[in-house]
Amino acid sequence: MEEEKEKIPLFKSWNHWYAFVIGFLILLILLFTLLTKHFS
Amino acid sequence: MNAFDWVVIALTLGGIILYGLYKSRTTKNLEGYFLSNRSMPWYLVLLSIMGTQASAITFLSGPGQAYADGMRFVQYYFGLPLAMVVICITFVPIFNRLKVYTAYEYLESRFDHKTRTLTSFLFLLQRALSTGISIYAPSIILSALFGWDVFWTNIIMGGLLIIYTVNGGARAVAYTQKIQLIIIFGAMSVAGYMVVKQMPEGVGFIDALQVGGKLGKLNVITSGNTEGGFNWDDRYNIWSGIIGGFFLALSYFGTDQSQVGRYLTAQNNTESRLGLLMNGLVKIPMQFFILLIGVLIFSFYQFQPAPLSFNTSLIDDARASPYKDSLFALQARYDAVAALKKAEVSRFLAAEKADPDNEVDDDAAALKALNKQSESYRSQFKILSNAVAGKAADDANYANDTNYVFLAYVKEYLPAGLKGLLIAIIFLAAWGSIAAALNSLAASTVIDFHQRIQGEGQPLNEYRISQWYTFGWGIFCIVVAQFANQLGQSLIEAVNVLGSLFYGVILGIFLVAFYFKKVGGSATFIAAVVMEAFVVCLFFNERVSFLKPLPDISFLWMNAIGAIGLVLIANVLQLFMPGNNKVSASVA
Repeated sequence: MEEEKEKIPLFKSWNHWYAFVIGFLILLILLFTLLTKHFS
Repeated sequence: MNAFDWVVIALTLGGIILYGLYKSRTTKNLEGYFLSNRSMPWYLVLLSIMGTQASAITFLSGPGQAYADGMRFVQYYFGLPLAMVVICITFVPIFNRLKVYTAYEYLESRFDHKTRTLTSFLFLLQRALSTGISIYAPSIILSALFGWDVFWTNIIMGGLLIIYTVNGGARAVAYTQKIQLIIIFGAMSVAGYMVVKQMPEGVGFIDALQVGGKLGKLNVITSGNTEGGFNWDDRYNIWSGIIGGFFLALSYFGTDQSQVGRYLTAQNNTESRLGLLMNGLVKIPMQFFILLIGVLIFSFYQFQPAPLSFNTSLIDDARASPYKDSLFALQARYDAVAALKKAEVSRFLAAEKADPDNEVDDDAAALKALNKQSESYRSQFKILSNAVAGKAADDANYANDTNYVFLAYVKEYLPAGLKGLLIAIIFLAAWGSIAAALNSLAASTVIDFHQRIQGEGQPLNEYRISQWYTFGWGIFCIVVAQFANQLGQSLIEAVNVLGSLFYGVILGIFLVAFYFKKVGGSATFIAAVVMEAFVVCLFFNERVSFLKPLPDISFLWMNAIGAIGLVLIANVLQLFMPGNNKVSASVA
């Protein structure tokens, strides 16, 4: 359970994971905006 | 429904119960029963989190919401990924380090007994009521469409899952949720495929999107702005989704034991965090997909005659009432517009294909006008239906058929077997969220109340008592569902709003606990009572005359108001209560 011994998968740190999740959200919002404009 | 459908339903539900019992082997103590010995990998945590959040109403109401109001409902989830990040940074390490069983256990070490008791009581109150409504809501829809007895539908919806939930605790809940979600997404994908397949010849997926888009159903992003400025009463727009949705998700995933109990089952911080962050990645696309099925169904019904109401029992009631002549006249006008619309939508698609770069909206003008006419006839039917039932003409809930759209399509157009499978997934979705709720209600009762009164006992005795509490809460929630049956359809909407009455205040308590170390238990407790009363007053402002001066605010904002208001009041009160600021060394 000790945090410092845990291996973080895929990225070097949890901060990279958090940035990835927020970046993905921004990407989704951009894609949804394009979708809304294209089909409206 | 034919015999094959019933066989599919029985096999699916029976299979889940047997699988739940098979996975019920767990250590006979509290850690084994409520936390599965903290042994779960991230993917089981993820599926358990998703299975707990996605109730039957998610799959029933989602497509109907898109049919009626377009896809903007997806914005409701925009705050969720942000909340996952905050929970991973702050909540998960503290809960795991203290090895708590419930989120509220932490509040006693940080504040005092009364603050813990108040918070866990608010949780038990809202979770038990909303679980009861979660049983009733799909039951009443299935009963109305298929003529089933709602009493027995409630029993099956809320009762059968008790068998494996009582027996296997958190482990059985997590493993059954995994299988349930696989079946649910498989069946929903097939349903989406079938809608496109059943479109007229020459009309494909993109054509269906063109039709839905031109008629305003692909409004995924909306700003909430009107000519008079920002509309605070607008439920779903990008700002209410990001800000209001953030506070709602933070409270739900960070402080609601039905969710906290899922990621406390993880092996360690890493598995908890991965489960939560993956939920932040997949939740919005999942919800988008469910809503997209609703848009496809909307486009499908531009070529096929849609009923005046998807709650066909209301049409039957009107047909058997003194208003039947009005119904027949309305139906004739509606059918005439439907025939015109079918011809116009084909002409529109042909024009789009002939000149795809045409930016001018003229092609869709006639189609939009016919759709508006068609919708006005559906609105007229709602008024007529209200009159049949003796309701006020402007009662917006009674004849609202949003939650019936998806199952009405399933009932009318899907082949035998698949129809049974789609009905079975409604039960599975309900079971997934109800099972987690019962497990968390029992955990909070045993840890936050029973152990406080009786003290710690023998592990086997505590295990048995926990099973009895799980069983007791299961019965209680079914009783709530049976009473909800007496109160009418508007309660279906209440399940979405109920959480917002409590979540903001509960979140505020935890925010003070985590981020304002100088504020003590008494200041937080008083602030919680004041803000809870204020949020309830805000909610009832339209129903109680002396509360009318309060502004109309969409329920999503109440989470933010409750949380921020509590933090502010607690900090101000603390200025007048020096010395009352117990801070546990383990969390400081």
